[in-house]
Amino acid sequence: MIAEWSQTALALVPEWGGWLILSVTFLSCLAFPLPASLVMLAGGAFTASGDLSLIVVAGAALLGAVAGDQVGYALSRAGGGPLWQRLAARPGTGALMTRAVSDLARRDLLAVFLSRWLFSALGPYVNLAAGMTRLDWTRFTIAGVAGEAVWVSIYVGLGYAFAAQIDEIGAAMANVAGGLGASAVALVLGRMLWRAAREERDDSGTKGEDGA
Amino acid sequence: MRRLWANHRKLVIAFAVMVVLAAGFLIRGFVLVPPRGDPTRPVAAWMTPGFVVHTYHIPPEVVGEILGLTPGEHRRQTIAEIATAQGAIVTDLLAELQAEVDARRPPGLPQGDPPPGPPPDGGE
Repeated sequence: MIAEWSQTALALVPEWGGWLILSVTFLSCLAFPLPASLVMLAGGAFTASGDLSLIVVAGAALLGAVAGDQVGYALSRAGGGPLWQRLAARPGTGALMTRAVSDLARRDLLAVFLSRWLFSALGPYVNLAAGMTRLDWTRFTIAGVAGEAVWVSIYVGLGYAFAAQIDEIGAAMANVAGGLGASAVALVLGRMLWRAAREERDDSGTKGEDGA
Repeated sequence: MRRLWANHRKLVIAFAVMVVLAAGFLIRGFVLVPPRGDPTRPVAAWMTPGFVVHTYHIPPEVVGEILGLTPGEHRRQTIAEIATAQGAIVTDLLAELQAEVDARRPPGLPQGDPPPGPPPDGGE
């Protein structure tokens, strides 16, 4: 059964078409809690039923997502510097965060690319981190556009192929996306903890015989 | 380990919470709510005439007749909007469409399969 709010969202898709899809993907890339995946699935489904054009649906979704990423990055780059300075200066976690961010910078293309679709729940926050820490704009944009193209293709494609099941697919995908996002955060936090534990072991090791 | 807890308590808690969330979401996504392709899914007010035609394999003429559309007209409106525009009751239109769907897809049909052969009523 489809929840009341998703029925409302679904009903708006054929009515407002590309504009709705563009607005929802734009805002969702700025961390607004909107059902972007369901709207893209519906866009794909209404393409299959002949109500909307595939080029309009996919183009609007991609344009909205890329614009949302750019705005998030630009805002954070313009105003996030002082916030980052403060975060990085915090005792304890500051050093761990600095290292996590330098990891991100070292794998910037992959991190930005994967956070568009595989770990899409993290996308808006990666945009903020990227802007705040002044990740190279060209690299951010290249990886961002490529990743968003994958994200849009997956959801619009699934909606097109399985029009009759968009609500079920939407519910399953929302859970999987949430799970993958939480897994990625757990991995980053786990790595930070692992490093902290190793350093503490090394510290106590220097007092004993294990001075490596 | 104890020092890790003492020095980075928030980080340890956040890590544990994320592991639990990840497991919960992934189990829900892969085990509890995977798509089943339910062929008995009811016709809904958010669907367009084209969507009903595409999803339930009903001839467009039949859907158009029930919704009072002129032949060949392709509306991007939802069934709810069409009902409002025509002063009809949406639940009546849905019931008529559902009856058509049920007539063409009898219970016991393998999941997701379209009805075999031409429609029994010869709905031209």
